[in-house]
Parts: sequence; C-alpha cells; structure tokens
Amino acid sequence: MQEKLPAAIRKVWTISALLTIFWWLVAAAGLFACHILWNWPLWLLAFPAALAVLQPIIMLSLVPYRYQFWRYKITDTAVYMQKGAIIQSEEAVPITRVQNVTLSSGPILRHFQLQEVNIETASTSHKIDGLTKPVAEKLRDQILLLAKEARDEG
Amino acid sequence: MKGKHLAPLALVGMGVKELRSAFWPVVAVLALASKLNWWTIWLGLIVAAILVITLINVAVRYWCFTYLVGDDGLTINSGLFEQKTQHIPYSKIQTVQRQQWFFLRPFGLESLTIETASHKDEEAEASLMAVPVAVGDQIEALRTGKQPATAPAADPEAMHTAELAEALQAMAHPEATDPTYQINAHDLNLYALSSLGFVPIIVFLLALWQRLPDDAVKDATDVMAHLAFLAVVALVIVALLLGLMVTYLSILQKFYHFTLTRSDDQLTTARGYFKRNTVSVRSAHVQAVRIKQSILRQWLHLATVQVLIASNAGQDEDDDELVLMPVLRDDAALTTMRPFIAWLPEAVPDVVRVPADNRWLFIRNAVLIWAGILLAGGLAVGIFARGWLAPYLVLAALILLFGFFQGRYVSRSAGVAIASPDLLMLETGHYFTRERFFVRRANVQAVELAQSIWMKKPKRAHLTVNVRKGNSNEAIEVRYLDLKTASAVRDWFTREK
Repeated sequence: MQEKLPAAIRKVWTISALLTIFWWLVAAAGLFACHILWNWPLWLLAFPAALAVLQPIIMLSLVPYRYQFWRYKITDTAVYMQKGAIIQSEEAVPITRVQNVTLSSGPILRHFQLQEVNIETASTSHKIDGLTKPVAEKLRDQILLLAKEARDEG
Repeated sequence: MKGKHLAPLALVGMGVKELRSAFWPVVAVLALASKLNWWTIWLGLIVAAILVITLINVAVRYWCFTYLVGDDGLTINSGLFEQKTQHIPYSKIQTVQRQQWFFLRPFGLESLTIETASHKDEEAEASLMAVPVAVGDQIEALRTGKQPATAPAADPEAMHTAELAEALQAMAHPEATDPTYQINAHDLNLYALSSLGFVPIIVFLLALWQRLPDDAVKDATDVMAHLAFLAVVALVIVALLLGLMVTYLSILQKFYHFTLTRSDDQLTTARGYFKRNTVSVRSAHVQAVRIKQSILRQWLHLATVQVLIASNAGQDEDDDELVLMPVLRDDAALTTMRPFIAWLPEAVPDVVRVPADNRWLFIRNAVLIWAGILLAGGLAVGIFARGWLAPYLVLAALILLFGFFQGRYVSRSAGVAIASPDLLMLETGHYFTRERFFVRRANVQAVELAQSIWMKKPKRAHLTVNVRKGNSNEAIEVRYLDLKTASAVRDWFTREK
C-alpha cells in the first residue's frame, strides 16, 4: 500500500492533542467551581491536572507512528486501509459494497484543506482521518458513479 | 379507500402491555404512600388516575390506528395529534412474521410483524397486533405476486378452527412440488435433550462439593443435622430436576411441529405449540448460512442450521438468527439444505485449518485470560479469606485445565475454505461450540487482516469477514491463520471481475 495520509494530518493530530489540555483545564475549572460552591474536596483537581499532562504527551508521541503506519489505497474497484503500529490491520472494502460516503471537516481540518472521510457499507463503517479535498471528492464521485451504474443495470 | 381497524381483541393485548408498563409507577406510588402515611382515599385516586389514563391512552391509540392492504403496499395510519402515515411497498418487505397465540386461534386472528431492509431503527417497521389471518395471507400473496390458493374467508371469525387449519395448511403448500421439511418427534426430542447443557449440573455439583468437607464432616456426629443436610440436598436435586424438566418442555413447545417450506424465492418456517410463529424470508435476502454444533451435539453427530438475515425477525430466538433446521444429522446437513438454499455446496469443501505450529497460541491465550482472572480472585481470597485459599487453588487448577481444553477446542475448530469463486466457508469455535458459516461473496461487506508485530515473522494473521446480521454487523473472525491463507481470502474478495 503506497499512499500515506497528507503530511498536514500530523499538524491536525498535534493540534487536537494540544486541545485536550484545554478540555481538561475546563474540567478542572468545573471541579474548582464545585469546590467553591459545594465544598467538594480539592484533591479531585489532581485527576484532570494529571490527565492534562499525560494525554497530550501520549497523543503527541504517537503522532509519528500513526503517520508512519497509516496507509490507504483507492483503486477503481476498492478502498484499502492500513493502520496500527503494534497490531497492524488492513481493511478491504470494494466500492460496490459502499452504501454511502460522508465527507466532513471541522475547523482544524478545514484550515489545512483536509476532509475526514467516512465510508459505510450495509453493516460496517470505516474512517480515513484526513484526505485532501480533491482526493476525497474524487473518491465520493467514483462511488456515486458505481452506485449509479449498479442501479442502471439492476 | 378507508383503512380498517385492528380486531377489538387488540384492545385487550394493548391494554395488558400498557398496564404492565404502568405497573412500576403504581408500585412507586404505593411505596411512597406507605412511607408518608398518606390518606387511603388520595392513594386510591392516584392509582385509579394512572389506570384510567392508561386505558384512555390505549383506547385512543386503538381508535387512531388503521391499516389498509393496498394494491402496491401496506398503509398504516396512526397517532391522534401527530398523525403518521406509513407506506410500505410490498417489494421492499424483507420478512413477514406471523404469531398466533393459542387463544387467538378460535377467533382466526394473529399478530403480524413486517420488516423492510432499512437499517435505521431497531423497531419493526410495522406491527399489526390482532388482524384476521386472511390479511396475512393477502399480504404474502401480493408480495409474491400470486393469488392466495384459497379465497380468504369473508368472515374468518365464523370459520371453524379445523377448517381454518386446513386452509392454512393449503396456503402453506400451494404446490405439491415445493420442498418441505417437517421435524419428527424423535429429532425434536433429541434437540430438546441436547439443548439442556451441563451447566446447571456442574454448578450443582460444585455447590455440593464445597459444602461436603465443611458441613457434612463436621456435623457427621450430629445425626439430626446430617439428616437435615440430606433433606436439603434432596430438595436441591428435586428443584434441579424440575428446572430441567421445565426447560425441556419449553423447548419442545417452542419447536413443536417445526416446518420449513420453500416456494419460489420464499423460505417459510413455522413452529410453536402455544404460540405458532411463522416467518417468511426471501431467499435472496439471506446473508449467510450457519451450521452450529455444541461439543455435545458433535459427539451425537447432530447439527442446527440457521440463517443470518438483514432483519430482526429472529429476535426471540436464542441468538438472533432464524433457525432453519433445529436438528439434523451433521453428515446430511448440506444435502438436506440444498433444496431450500440452492447455493450451498454439495459437500463440505476441504478446510484449510490453522497450521499445527499456531495451535498452541489459542491454548496460551485461553489459559492466560483465565490465569489473569484467577490471579485477581486469588489475591482477594488471600487477603480476605485466607482459610479458603486451599480449595480456591484446587478450583483454580481445574479452571486452568478447563482453559487448556477450551483453547485446544477453538484451535481445532478454526479454519477457512474457498469453496468456489463465489462462496466462502469459515469455521470458528467459541466455548465448545463450533460454527460453520457459508457466505456468498456478494454478501461479504468488508474483509480485514490483522497482524501484531510478533506475528509478522512467523507469517500469521487474523482474518475477519464482515457480514450483515439483523441491523448490525456479524464479524466472523478466524484467528492465527497462515498469512498466505488469510491473504488468499482477501484476494478472493477483492479480485476484479
């Protein structure tokens, strides 16, 4: 499998890792408010504080591995995805099985002109963390075209 | 055209259902009342209000609910304030489930559940609680594009039960050539007996074994206490036998007169004594066929055949799949099934098993998982109940031995076979039960290969084949296959036409 995710995805992952600090700080602020209002014990604050340090560190250290091991391939007939560093998995989904494709992008992805792609079959769903807009749209059109052909035939 | 109401008996059914859900609010009110010492008059009023509201709700719902069997689809109107019209085209119907409780039989009524392939909501698409049997026949006929074999009776309620049964029989066999299978008493008996399982017996023996050294030995001098102990044991045995008996009888009644029929592209199963349950499925909607054998049934050479379908019609079965054949000789399973599901192979293809070098991994995993659980338990026992440590260790050793055989069983059950360019067979084992799946390529949704970094060098891989089941996914996983075997399945799946 050749294609790596677009290099910008590393920045997206880095930013979302750093954002977790913010969310844990919000949680800490909430607990502090509880302390002032209802006298909750102050040591509860230790949990969000520890997680605010640990989670971004773990996530940041995983970014290069995620990038290194995340591969995909889109051929005329199928989508292949490969991920995982210690347990590597490889998924194959023929385009004819795809029921629908959802492209979505939050503010961070949008800033880097990326799109998250969700592929759904009749029973499973598969996610590609980020593709450049042209690639994502090409994939969507390809699937729509094949679906249309299948309808015309059947 | 104006829609019809359900039969008035549906009022009773809906009422019972609603009252059952009103049961807990009433209990809560009563509990609160007894705590606060409320006046009984108020209490009575509140309970009465809950009941009245429930009954009014039922009446309104009954009144607003109408159905219409049209030319191209079934239309259902419901709701008082928010009126809802549901239209289900016959061509979209995936399964039709007909349930007839014995007390509905004299009235010629049954409840109908109709499902389509949409995988949005968990609820059945349409359920008609009590309608004349003729309605179900009409829907089935319109759906298959055939006229009912006998004209639906104008007034089914007046129809005699025997006549009705005859008419139903005729409906189920419109042509003499349709393949039909009916379970015989001997097979049904075998099925029920082999369903009982050893679990309750083992639990009972364990309980007995734990009791003996402590109580029996100590109290052996005290004859009276000894007798009392014996009485307790006897009581437990009687209770156990009764439990087994009830289970046995309930299985017998559940699969009483089990019948499987195929007409054109429809598979129909019927079963049950107190509640006759009839389900029809289009054979094109069958996602996979599963042949299931517990280790007990493997010894007896018996097998159960089920189908995975893209709807919930099998919901009240033991495990969500529609049973096609409760019990069969395992060597005759495929030949018996082929008249009903044409794409099954004539014989079991040669299975590629997990390589002998990889089998110990299953045993290792099973033993490790048990060891982890036992270690945690052992720590707790060591800290809080030191006196129990010796019996615990004996038990732990037994469980580890069990884990060994469990892993060994799974390792010998796992395998795959590419039966044809369009058909795959997978075998898996779980808790001393072997499952053999037959899946057509068109019904496989996705294939996944997974390898940990330690599995790279010895070239091992886990294979997962995803098939739709009900409204969700059945992931059939065969672990520790040879990488070559697993990749062959992936390539079989993704190859271009």
